[in-house]
Amino acid sequence: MEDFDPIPFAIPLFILMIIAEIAWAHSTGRLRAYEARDTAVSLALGLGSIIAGAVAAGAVAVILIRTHDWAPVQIGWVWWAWPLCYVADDFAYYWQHRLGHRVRWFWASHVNHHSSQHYNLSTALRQTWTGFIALSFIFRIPLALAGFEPGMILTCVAFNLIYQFWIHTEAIGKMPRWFEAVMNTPSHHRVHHATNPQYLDRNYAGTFVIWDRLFGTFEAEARDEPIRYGLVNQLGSFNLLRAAFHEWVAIGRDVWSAPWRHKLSYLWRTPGWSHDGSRETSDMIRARSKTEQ
Amino acid sequence: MLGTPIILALAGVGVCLLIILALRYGFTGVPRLEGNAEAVAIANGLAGGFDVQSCIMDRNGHCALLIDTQGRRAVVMPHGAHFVARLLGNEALVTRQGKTLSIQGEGWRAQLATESDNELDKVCAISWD
Repeated sequence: MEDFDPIPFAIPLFILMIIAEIAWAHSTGRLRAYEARDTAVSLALGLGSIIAGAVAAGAVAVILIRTHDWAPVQIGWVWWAWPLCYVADDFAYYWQHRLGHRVRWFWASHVNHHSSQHYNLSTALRQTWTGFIALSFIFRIPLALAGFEPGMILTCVAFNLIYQFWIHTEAIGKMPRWFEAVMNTPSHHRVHHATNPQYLDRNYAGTFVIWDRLFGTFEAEARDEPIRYGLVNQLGSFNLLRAAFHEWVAIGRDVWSAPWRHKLSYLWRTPGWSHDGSRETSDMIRARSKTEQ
Repeated sequence: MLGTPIILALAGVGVCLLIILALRYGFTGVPRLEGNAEAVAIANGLAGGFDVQSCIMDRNGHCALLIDTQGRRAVVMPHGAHFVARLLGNEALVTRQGKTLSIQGEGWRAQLATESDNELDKVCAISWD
């Protein structure tokens, strides 16, 4: 299998762009744009995710290769397969991301990306350590089954991740209209990271925002609505291990204490669901907010 | 192709550089609430909603204590450059020393200092059970 991982080559670019953003925040007096401890946690989670990814890479590659062997058509390494694979992977990413917010098991892995109250380029690197445990790779299996080369799929996954780096910033307002219409942008992704009720569980796109427009999950950024970032129940901690595992611990606690017939529901239902109705899901928060207005 | 240890070493150096830069540029310290409105907006985001009835601000803007229309209490306190809101349950430990109120919850602690005794007298008149 031919394999190319572009992420090591992107790391120097990531660092230079973060330096530029820190300098911008400093020179424009945005003292809340960065926080040293928050940045440290984000970057440590990023480093940890490289290790976790390296550990799981072999297993993911084997699963994709085995699946690819069953594909009725072998597309191979032809040039036109690359853009096709990228778009197909982005479609798979949209569903992975959507379920990452709507199914608590997947959310437990993804939540740490949202646990910062800051929205800056270092937040982009706040990546999961538990993606393999959460079975995130299953969303790429249909691509291998469709005949795309596993190496090509993994390369597209990496490029998609790199694309999403630059959209984690408040330094860029809106891009040209045609770009905002098709591509995921800082404006669209700020909405995704917001805890404002009308923004909850919106804009799941990776590279192309067309999936959100197609499947009814798009919400435009309103100019007059200040965004509050992070989680509905803010983590309020700079403890690295807490940031990485807090939702898994919370799931364990809920499953342990729930009545038998509700135990599994705490794994697969929407985050915020509770058997006694004592908590709120994002849909409930949005509905409450509408009635309060 | 670079190996994972080399990537980690290079990335580690970059991470240290960025943290030093963030510290040098002064992205640390305790934030200040810009006013009651900010504290109220943060408390409104609490799970289940929080319809604020009264708000007592720390004299330096570092903290706020809020009471909602159902009689629930919440504290808005600094976390890094931002603030978090926490509902005060029965387990919250509240102690007063002069014009300063110390509030301790599960895994957190907040201090609220007021200009006058009167404000704290009002707070302390509330039943904390």
